[in-house]
Amino acid sequence: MYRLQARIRQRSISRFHVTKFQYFIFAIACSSILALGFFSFTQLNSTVETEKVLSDVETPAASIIFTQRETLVYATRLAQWSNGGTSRRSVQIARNILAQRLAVIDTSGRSMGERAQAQYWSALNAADKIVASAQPGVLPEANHLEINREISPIIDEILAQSRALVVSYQRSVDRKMVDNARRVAEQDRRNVFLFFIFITTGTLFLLLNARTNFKNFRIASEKIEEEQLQLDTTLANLKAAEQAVIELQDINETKNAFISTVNHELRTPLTSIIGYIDLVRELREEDPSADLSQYLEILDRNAQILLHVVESILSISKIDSNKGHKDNEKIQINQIIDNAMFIMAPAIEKSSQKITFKADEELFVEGDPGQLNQVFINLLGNAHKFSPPGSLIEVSLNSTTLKDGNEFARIVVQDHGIGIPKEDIEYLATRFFRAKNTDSGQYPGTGLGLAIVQQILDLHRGKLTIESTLGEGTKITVLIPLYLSDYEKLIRERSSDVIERAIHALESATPATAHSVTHTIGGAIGFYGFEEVGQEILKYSKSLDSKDADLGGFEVDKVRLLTLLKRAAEEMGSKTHE
Amino acid sequence: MKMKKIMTATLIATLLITTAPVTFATDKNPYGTATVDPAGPNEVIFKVSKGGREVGFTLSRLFNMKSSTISIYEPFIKKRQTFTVVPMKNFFSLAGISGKDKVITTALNDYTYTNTARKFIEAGAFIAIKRNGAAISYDQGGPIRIVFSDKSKWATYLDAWNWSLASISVK
Repeated sequence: MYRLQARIRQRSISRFHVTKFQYFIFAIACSSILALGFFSFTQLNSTVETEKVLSDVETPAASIIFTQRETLVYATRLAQWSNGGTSRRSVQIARNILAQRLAVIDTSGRSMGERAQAQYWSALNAADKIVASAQPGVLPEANHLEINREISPIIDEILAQSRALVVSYQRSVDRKMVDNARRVAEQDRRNVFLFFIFITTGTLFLLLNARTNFKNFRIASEKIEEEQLQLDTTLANLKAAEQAVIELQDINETKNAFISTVNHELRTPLTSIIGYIDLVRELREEDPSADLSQYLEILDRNAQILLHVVESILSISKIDSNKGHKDNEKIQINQIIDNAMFIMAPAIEKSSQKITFKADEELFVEGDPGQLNQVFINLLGNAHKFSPPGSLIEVSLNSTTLKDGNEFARIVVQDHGIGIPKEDIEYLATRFFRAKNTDSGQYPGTGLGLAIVQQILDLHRGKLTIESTLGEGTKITVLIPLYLSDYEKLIRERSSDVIERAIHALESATPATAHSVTHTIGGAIGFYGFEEVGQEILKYSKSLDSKDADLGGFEVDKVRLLTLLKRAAEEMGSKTHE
Repeated sequence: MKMKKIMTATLIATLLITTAPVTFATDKNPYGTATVDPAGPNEVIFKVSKGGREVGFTLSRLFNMKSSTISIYEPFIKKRQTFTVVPMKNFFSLAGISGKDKVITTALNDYTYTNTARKFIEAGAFIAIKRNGAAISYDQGGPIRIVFSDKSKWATYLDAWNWSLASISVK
């Protein structure tokens, strides 16, 4: 089995394949992830550039601040000097410190001085010229106005140019930042696009594969189920064949045992007969007037035994050959029992035995009158044979219903004979089996009587029960199904589920359908033998005939009716007249 | 007599030294062509103070201090230059500045940088008094400036490189 499943699984896997479209999708996914990896790697240089740009921004920030600062200091000193507030030397020192600041080279490799416009230098030179032309030390008050008039626009120009220098530098830095940001954004956009392609195609590929795998799995499962079914069928056939072989072997063994037993049973009286015939012949030769009546009686008894054996064998052979076949007639079982008693009457009277038959009623069964007659002849024969002279044999007949509801004719044959050992009772219906206490010349027999009875009762769906107490007697009970008309059979078949269907219908009923449903249910279950419950439900249905009937309490009534139905169902399940 | 001659020669030599024009390095700043009026005689160009105690330094006094020469990579103009330097801790000693004192270094343009004396000493701060063997012009961050050797942990910490240093005081 496991090997078979493995084979199927292997076949399913070998059937797994990738379509050209899936290959295409997979190729795109691989290409996109490779491209993404390549660009991510090459972007390392870009990252270095970005770091440089950021560094260029950071250091120039200091350059900008200090350039502004030194320019302001210088401009302030110029203004102070022109108003006589400081010496020319302090102006020159501030100018030199500004020069030093302009010479500082930042990370971009250029100084602020290199970036300054010509107007800036012109303004500085103009200021330098004025300062240089003045006398050292503090400017005399007489010159304040004149120098102020000359120097003020220059100071404004210096400040304006300084501001312009800073702004232009800041703009160039900003431009670099923007360019860099744009480049990074472009790279990120490309990478995101590649990633999107990868995710989309990868997902598509996986989904297609999952679909294919699921399909293959389904095919494999169906195959396994199919082959499992075939395997189960084959196994069932094998078991049936094995059973048939066993049955054939049993039949063969039974046949051999039967032949052996028959051989023995026929040979015994025949040997006796042949022996006595020889003896009679010899006696006649010696003395033609000899009294032979004693030997003739023995010969007769052995011939009778032989006849009985032959009849029994013929009887059981007939039943075997017609197995499953019997005449189906309506038979009054009382008459069958009477017939059997009539046939057995001479033998019973000869033994001074008494027989009584008590029947409560006339009962009819369905079956083969000949076979049933055989049943009671055998039972009465046994009762007669194993009972002492003068004893009583009681036969009774009545009807009984079993738990499953089926009715039977119950016939009891009670004797007061030798009884049967307890351990032998279960084997009594076995062919040629004889109880230990009968296996002697005192009780001649074939061991076929009860086997025939059992076989005939099986054909009639009957039952055989044997109760016995050794030394006190035996009670044999036979159950034969009572005759049912086709109509009764139909009712019996359907009555089992009519209650269930009624419960289901009532549970589904609504106030709107209450009237029609209860009408139908009441009629149906009454017809199938539940008259009381049916009438109760019909009575309720009739109470709803009026258009003004109050349906508000239907749910309460429904519970009551369901309880009745369920109780009827329970009673049906446990009904017995025993 | 002989003693008089010696004393006279010494005086002349001193006068020559103190009044001799200061020579500047030839590596000129391209953006600072303006000349600076000479300082007054014995003008104090650098002060070190702590509390009420103040020590003033003329350029000649600075030149007479025990100094050494170091070659460093100047981080502003990004060139290797040779400076004649005096350890800053020497100035701290003169003014009685101890390690835990908060030292304020102030430039001629009023730029300041403040840290503890210990940090300056640990960083091996120097006061540069000459560049390439000549006095440092104002357009080169002169006349004196703070520098650090290449090995100093503040070699690239530019905030501490105060130019045109005017004073050191304690907060």
